[in-house]
Amino acid sequence: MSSWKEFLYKKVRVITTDARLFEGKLEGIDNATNIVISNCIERIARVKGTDDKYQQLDMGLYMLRGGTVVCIGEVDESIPVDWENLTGDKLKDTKNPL
Amino acid sequence: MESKETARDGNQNNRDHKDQRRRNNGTKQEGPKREAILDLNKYKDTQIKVEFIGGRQIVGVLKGFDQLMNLVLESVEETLRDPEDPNVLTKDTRSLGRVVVRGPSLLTISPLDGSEVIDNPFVAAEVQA
Amino acid sequence: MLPLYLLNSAKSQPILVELKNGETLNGLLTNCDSWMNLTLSEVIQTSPNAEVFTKIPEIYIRGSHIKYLRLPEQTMDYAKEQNMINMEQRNKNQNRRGGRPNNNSGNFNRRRNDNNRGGNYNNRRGNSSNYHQSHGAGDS
Repeated sequence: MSSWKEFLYKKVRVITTDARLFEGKLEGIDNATNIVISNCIERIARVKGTDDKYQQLDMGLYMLRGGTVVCIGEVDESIPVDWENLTGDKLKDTKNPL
Repeated sequence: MESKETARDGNQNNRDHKDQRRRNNGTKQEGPKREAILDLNKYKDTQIKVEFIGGRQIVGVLKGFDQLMNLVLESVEETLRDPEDPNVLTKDTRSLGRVVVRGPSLLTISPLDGSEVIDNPFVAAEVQA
Repeated sequence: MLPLYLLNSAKSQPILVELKNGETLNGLLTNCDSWMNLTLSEVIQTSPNAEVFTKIPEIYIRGSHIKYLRLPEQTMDYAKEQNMINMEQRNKNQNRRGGRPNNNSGNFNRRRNDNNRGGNYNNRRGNSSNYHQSHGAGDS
């Protein structure tokens, strides 16, 4: 069985149902996928075809409810990402209206 | 023979887990609570605002409640929402009289007394949480 | 560190809660339970469109409709500290009763169970089932 244990205390990126991207150290997780991220930053990438600037927001100690987590992945720091110039299509949210 | 063995172990495991949980609640002060965290008695016969899952909002006088947070409210006024944008509340209300609120559809409960609309307190810089 | 334990150590601290409907609530965490239902005091509620701000003395929030929480940074350290204290306390209690040094979660029930079963198997479980500690030590 795959497990989140291998991500614990590692730097991870998390995508949420409202189509946001968070990055930070995974400090805790439980069976409901509630997660705790320390030194959390939210990355807002530029949307293709707009003049929006890349944004990075400091969120500090962050706790996400399990239901809002879409995926968690470990960050491979050996792969450089040029966030400033990265553009892409906007993710659609996967929210259930309720 | 072997499968019997594992089945028994599995049971034991299960029971152990339950034990563990109960014990954890007893021994760790910082563990999360299982009992009610809001004493509704203090709101009895006072006006409270209730938000529902789905966005409706009502104000009424709390007359009764139970463990599951089902509420009985009287003189209830529902604040109507903008038909164009259900996130926006209007100034219009409608009277609902006596209402039983189902606990599971509750989103927030707050006292009306002491609540007021204020100007944006988060001037320019975002306040640190 | 389990999220709900961390939340518990954030009591009386200022936190920010965003609900699934986009509403945010800033206030002091007064209480929380295992469903993540919260009570906050001295709350400022911000509407989803960030246009209406309401001051509320106290509010109860259903845990299942929370999107995320922002906690003060020092909560983490505080929680770890509490954790250590609890662990030490438990070890002390255990030693007093002359339990096995390896079994960290000593108490009455545990010992009663121990007598019903093979001690070896038990020892193993005693360690791994204490998820609280297993995060810190020896999980791979």
